[in-house]
Amino acid sequence: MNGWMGKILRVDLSDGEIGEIDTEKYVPEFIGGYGMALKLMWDELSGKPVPKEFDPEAPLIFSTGPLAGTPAPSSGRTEVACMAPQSYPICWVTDSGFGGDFAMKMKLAGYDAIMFVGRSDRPSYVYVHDGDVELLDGSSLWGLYTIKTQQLLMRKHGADCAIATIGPAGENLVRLAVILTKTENVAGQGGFGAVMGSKNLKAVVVKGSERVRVARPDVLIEEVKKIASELPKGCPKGTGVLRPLSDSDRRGRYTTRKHSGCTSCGECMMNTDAFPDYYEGVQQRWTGTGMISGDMHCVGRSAPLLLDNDWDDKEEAFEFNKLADMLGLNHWELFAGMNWFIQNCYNDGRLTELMGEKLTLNKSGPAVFPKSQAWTGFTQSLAAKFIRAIAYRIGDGDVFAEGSPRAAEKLGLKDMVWRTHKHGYGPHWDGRYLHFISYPLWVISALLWATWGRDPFNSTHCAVEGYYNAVREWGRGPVPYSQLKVIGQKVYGTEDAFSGWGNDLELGYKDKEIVAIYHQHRSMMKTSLPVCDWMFPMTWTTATPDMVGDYEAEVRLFNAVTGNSWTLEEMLTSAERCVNVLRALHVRQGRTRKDDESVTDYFKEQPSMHRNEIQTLDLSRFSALLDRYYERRGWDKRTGAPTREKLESLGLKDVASELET
Amino acid sequence: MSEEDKEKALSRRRFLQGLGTGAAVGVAATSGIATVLKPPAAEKTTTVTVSQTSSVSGAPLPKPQRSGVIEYSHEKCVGCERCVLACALVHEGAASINLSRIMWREEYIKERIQEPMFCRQCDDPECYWACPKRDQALCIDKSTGARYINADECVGCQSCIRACPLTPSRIGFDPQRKVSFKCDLCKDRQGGPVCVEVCSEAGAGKALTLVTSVERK
Repeated sequence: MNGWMGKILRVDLSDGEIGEIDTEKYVPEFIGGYGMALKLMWDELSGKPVPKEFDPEAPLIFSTGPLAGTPAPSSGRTEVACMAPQSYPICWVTDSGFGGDFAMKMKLAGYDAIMFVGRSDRPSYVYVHDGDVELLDGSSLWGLYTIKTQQLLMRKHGADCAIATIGPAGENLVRLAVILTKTENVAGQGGFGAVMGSKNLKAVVVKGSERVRVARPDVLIEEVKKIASELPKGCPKGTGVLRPLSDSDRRGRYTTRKHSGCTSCGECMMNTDAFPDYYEGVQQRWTGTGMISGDMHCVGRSAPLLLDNDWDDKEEAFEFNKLADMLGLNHWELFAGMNWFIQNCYNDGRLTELMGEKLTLNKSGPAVFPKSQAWTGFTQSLAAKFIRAIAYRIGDGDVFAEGSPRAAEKLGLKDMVWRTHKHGYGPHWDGRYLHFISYPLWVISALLWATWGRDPFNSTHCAVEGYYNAVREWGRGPVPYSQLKVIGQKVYGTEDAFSGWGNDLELGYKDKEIVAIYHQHRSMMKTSLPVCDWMFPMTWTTATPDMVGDYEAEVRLFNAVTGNSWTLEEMLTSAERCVNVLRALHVRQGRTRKDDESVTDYFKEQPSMHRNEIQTLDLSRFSALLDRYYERRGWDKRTGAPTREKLESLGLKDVASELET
Repeated sequence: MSEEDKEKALSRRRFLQGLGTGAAVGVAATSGIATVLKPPAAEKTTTVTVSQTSSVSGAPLPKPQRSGVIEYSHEKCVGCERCVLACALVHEGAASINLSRIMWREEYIKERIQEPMFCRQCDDPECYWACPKRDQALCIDKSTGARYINADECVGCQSCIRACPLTPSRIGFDPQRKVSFKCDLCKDRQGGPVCVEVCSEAGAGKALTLVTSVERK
């Protein structure tokens, strides 16, 4: 096969049974990566009750797609999919991805995906190399930090392997435990580290010498060149202006260098809208090759926001970030979720003590506009003590190890947690807390959050963050707001894709379901191919007069690698197929329209930070928007479940039948 | 060449000179027949000024024409590995690390290193002198000067791999086809070296440049 390796590995940790599944069974219909993982999961659970997150039967899937391991820009992504322990109240199936070179090395080891089921009776790890699979004793690794684990495994299996591992947090089933590879590349949201812990699986080690076959190498090279040169002119992340490195970017013991995130890419590391100064003069021992703790990436930057917003106190901040990485905890939830829940409780006088210490937090937080100084005000010693206690489940840490909503339940603070958490996840580009996007962008956020399994920006950064940064009137980017009409018409087929900015109550809800659905499909494409969420799709650009970007780029990469000749519409149909399997899984887990609507009180009560714009969600209009969303999707308006008609039109007759039983 | 490579290459030259191996010993390469391998150390050239001598006549062989080379800027590299994969793709039709002509060095726990390692296309190419089928298997390209391997003629003896003064050797071995492979500056490719073409321009621009034999200092 071109692009795909042709084999999926299935490891039953309970009895050590190792099986292989032909990738051909799933592709090209389910593309690869997350899409393929969803159907794989569906088939695995077919005819069985849907397992809970920590049941041995829960299938934990590491999956990548046809582009991984090729020079296609930003293709070095691995997707992890399972029932997410962080999710609440039901652990909805979702995904989280990480960069680095695990995806490439898993393919070079011979597999497109690895599915783990069962539970090992003792700590173990799996070593996959050139088609050989070994289930090995991991007792001596149990309890070790993530970085140390990798060091020891590399000593044993060679420095050229890629390792995905958990820290003490994952072992102790902490619901905000990550799966980490290299120094800071993690699958964070979802808490999948805890699933690995529940399976007694400490690490997955892959390496190999296979090759990834490419149908049209010359075409691929030309596309790589073209697309890589287009990214700086219109990538969804930031303004697309790249910061040049200077000679002083590397100076001995200290470094200011941003370095590669994923195989075949490194574009994001050069972005401007970060905190370049924060990174300067930091001891090299606190930095790594992957995403740099404390660098631009939200995934590894908990310290300043959790602490005192002191970006100058670098050694301390990096030390704290590194501690979170080593314990294997989700930075994002620590500094943009749980902390704000704690802060809200503190401000309302509901929480005065933590870890036996009297709390003194930043009273002006958590959300301050226009500057995102939503820092919490933990002292460094309390923060370090707190996250250690979470990872090892000591005292109050044991309560918070269950994640914010479950901790709130236990502490009698359930009436506080809705202000920050929906489906178990904290805010993420919704106009409140940290990301102060304009109306009606956050209406789209609300719809995305409502209908998906995770936070609003699960691979849909391009939908809202991208435009907020790109538009001159909003994020000081290069695109005039008026130009969104043209882009909207061309990309989404509607001029009203982003209409209604400011105070237009009617236009603000018009056609927003089209944008949400479109981007959920693009999200599915990105996580399945795979390509980077921050880089694609390139819907706008500074390179053409009408500012419409090269939004079909990923499809051309896919065609060059696999030898297909799909159009964007065909690719989007495949993505829709995967989305419907995801929804069907959710329905099997008990999802209804009511669960979707559970996000509305957040947008109804919590004001947007733009005071001169519409600040809260209009419930009747949102309900109508949701109606239109289900209608357009071919889902039942009352239940939110995919109809048989829709599923059959996507070739998912088996899914439809199973759903009805 | 990274600093470390340079150092290793230099120190070995000094070491060999110290041993007094002095003038170069010719490799026993005759017309197209694979010969018995000599112990590698004794065969090494040790100076840059004196070239090889013909094992038949004893007369000095002319130094091959100068080659172009891929220059790498550490400052500009984003460490993405795209060059490594594209190299294998162009030469083997499939993306691979093991079959890439570009070696990759990575360390992320004690240090922070991610860098490609390129063939230096040496002025005095020891791989070339070591090849038992010189000018048939290990050849010099007339237009670019690239020292390249003609896989059809390669007997897979790996002499060139051992002769490379750099660590790790910039010549790889394909265990399936049983031939050595090395950077040929994409001599047959329109547009030249693919690594330079795909190199990321993010940040300060491409880390890789092709320096032609004329431009090379």
